[in-house]
Amino acid sequence: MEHHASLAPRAFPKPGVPVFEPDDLRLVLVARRAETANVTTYFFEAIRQDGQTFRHHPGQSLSLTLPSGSNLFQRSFTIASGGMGGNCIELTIKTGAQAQATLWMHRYLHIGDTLAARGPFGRFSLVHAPKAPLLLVGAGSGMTPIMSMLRWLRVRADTLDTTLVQLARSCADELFGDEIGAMADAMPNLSVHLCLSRPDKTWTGLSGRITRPMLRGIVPDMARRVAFCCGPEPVMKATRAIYLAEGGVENAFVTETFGGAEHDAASRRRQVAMHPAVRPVETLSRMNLSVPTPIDKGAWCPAPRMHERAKPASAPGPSSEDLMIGFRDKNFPAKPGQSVVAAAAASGLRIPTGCGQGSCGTCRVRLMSGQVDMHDQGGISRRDKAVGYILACCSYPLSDLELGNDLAGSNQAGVVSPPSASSK
Amino acid sequence: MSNPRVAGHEQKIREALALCADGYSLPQEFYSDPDIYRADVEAVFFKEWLFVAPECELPDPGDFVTVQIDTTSVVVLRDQEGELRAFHNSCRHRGSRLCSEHRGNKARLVCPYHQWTYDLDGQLLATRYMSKDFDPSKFPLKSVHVQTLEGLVYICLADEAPDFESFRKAASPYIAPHEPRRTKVAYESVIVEEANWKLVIENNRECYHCGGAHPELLVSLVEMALPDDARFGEEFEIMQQKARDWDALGLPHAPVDGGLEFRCIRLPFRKGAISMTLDGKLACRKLLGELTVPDLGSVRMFHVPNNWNHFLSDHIIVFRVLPLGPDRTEVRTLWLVHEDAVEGWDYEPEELSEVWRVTNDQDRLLAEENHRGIKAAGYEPGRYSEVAEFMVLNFIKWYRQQLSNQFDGSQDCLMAAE
Repeated sequence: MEHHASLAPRAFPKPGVPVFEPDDLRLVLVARRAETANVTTYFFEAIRQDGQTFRHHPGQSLSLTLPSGSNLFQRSFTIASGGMGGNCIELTIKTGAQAQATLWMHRYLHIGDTLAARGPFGRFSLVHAPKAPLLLVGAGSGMTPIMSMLRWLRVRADTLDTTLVQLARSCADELFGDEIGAMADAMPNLSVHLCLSRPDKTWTGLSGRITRPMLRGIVPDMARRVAFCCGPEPVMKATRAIYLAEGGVENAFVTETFGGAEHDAASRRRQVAMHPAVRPVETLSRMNLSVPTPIDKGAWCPAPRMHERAKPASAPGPSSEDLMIGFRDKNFPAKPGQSVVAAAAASGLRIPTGCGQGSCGTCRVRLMSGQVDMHDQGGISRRDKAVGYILACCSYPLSDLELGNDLAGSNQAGVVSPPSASSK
Repeated sequence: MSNPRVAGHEQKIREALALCADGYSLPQEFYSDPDIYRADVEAVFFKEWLFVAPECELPDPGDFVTVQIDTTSVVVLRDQEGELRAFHNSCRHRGSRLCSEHRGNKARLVCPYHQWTYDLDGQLLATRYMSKDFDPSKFPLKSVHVQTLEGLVYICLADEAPDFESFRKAASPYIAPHEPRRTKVAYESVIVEEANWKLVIENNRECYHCGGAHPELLVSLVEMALPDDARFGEEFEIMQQKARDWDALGLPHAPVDGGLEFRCIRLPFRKGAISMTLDGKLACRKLLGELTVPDLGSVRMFHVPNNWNHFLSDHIIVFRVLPLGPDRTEVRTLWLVHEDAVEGWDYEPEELSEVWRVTNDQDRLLAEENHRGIKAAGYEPGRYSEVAEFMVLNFIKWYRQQLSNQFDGSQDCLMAAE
């Protein structure tokens, strides 16, 4: 149970962690280096408009204003450097034949050139995570924020138990291989794994798509780790499904998607072209952060007790027109036209019901307060009616209701009573 | 036919069978008469494959469980080679029971009375004070047929067991993805119902009663029993959607043709529910086997005469019914989770088991009230619903066949023996 404590609820941002306000930036290209055939690292000096030193958390990102054809528009990239290098930052960017903006950088961005940008942005950073063992999964150029985090850990000589899984197409597509190797040598609690989706015949390591047995083989305790995952959507979806299937906590699996899809940019090109004055800050909405919610109470708290759990996702949220019904220590909404039984069912509560039309009396409940419009077909005795019983299947709330606990069902089924079963 | 039977007894069964009407519940004596109960034990429980336990209760050599079928005790164990075996739990010396516990682990089976000692393969290894002409190889434990279906252990007490392969072949593809062998018991419940065993099965074979009796179960369970059951419009739509999802995952879901003997189908849960819990959420965070999709509804598998099961994405529930007498029936329920699941982290046993503990108890009351009502003077057989109780009709049809096979053909057997 110790791990429960280490994954205890945390506020966002984590107390004591500084918030670096985004600002308009000028990025001056200082150097560039080819990582693979289609991935380039750009070294920039980042100059904030407000004159302060540029700082960022590992995993945060920038929005760059880039030309594509005759238009300018914004693209977001995670920063690959660890955030400890002052104004000097690195962006490691993959390009493709269809990716016009990144292709432009790849071909025409020379040392000394300046780009307009804004940042830093994003919550995809381990600085906000609880101090718990880490699982870092980077696929393709999704390795850049992961690399940022690793570099941050490395500079701090952090001893956090960390497992890195890099997913790449082939050996030639592995990113930061030499540096990661050196980190693994220097950081005793870092274990690194490379899995290739299309390896050549000489590869003897992990290969193919990521599966549950494969990932469990690498990190049998993944459910006890905070996971950061970045890469193409299908990879993140698969990794998330595996992490949850192994028992991981939903909100301890943090992902980020953006950048890669040129069609995404293309769809917005017209919009940007029509509104040349669009503020760079609007790019925030394009980052498509999938960090689910601020880390709140419960988010990091595994195995919540039943009574603490939220209602089923299918339960419609109450709207202002809904009347509320109280039953068995719960309150649920009744939409206009919903019977008491239907309203209960919509919130995941079952009231024992037989005929559903007010003639069998199985759904008899006691109305403690409130008014209903009941259309029974003789399934309730006059005496029961007189003492306040209603048939829930054919009663429509006219006001907020409070229902009693004594049900008519054949064996008091609605009341969860201790079973007579002997448990051994 | 080593059991010579009284002709009057057989005549009584035949006469009772002649009073049964198709489409109607059975006459009173089938639910209460001690002679018919004896006939049930002989014709059903000594003839058919009976579910005993999941294999995960017997992971290591020497692990055993005992099961009592009427007055006959059987020990099911894993031998030193890792094979499952089943024996009559009775010493070949003077008949004492060898194992009195429900489960445990033994290197050898040693009779507590005079310490006759058997190997786990049933061979008599050691005795004391027996004369020189005593040949221990003539006194092995009497074996009982044993088979497993993806980690569910069945035994058969008949000399010649009925076919198991067609059942295994049909049901395995539905169950295998849930990997019952890689589970552990998270919760066990044993209840005794004051009702005839057939009423327990009949109650399980229909959901006609669910709406009025099982509010907790109906958070997740759909009341339809077949994917094309036209009574349930919304559930029908869910079925269509889930069928497409499961096809994409390669999970079989359509009902298999198990005749009257067994049934296997994957059906979805109600909208918004993915497990059999009070809130429809997962009961165990670690999914079974290598599953990564939590919304798999449940595989409902039934085998006559004593077993039904639910296979979910996160846990498995197995039910075993055994007759204790004409008026008493034991129902044992096990909740199985992934073998690596951790109590308190991945699941809470009380939450995991809550829905079916409550449902079992509701069903117990229903069966007991049914039994009491049948024993009253005013009882006469009533009509089953062909729509809502077709599986009960199947069960009754199968049951009457079993008794007829045993007792209508018996005269021929006796004559042949003479």
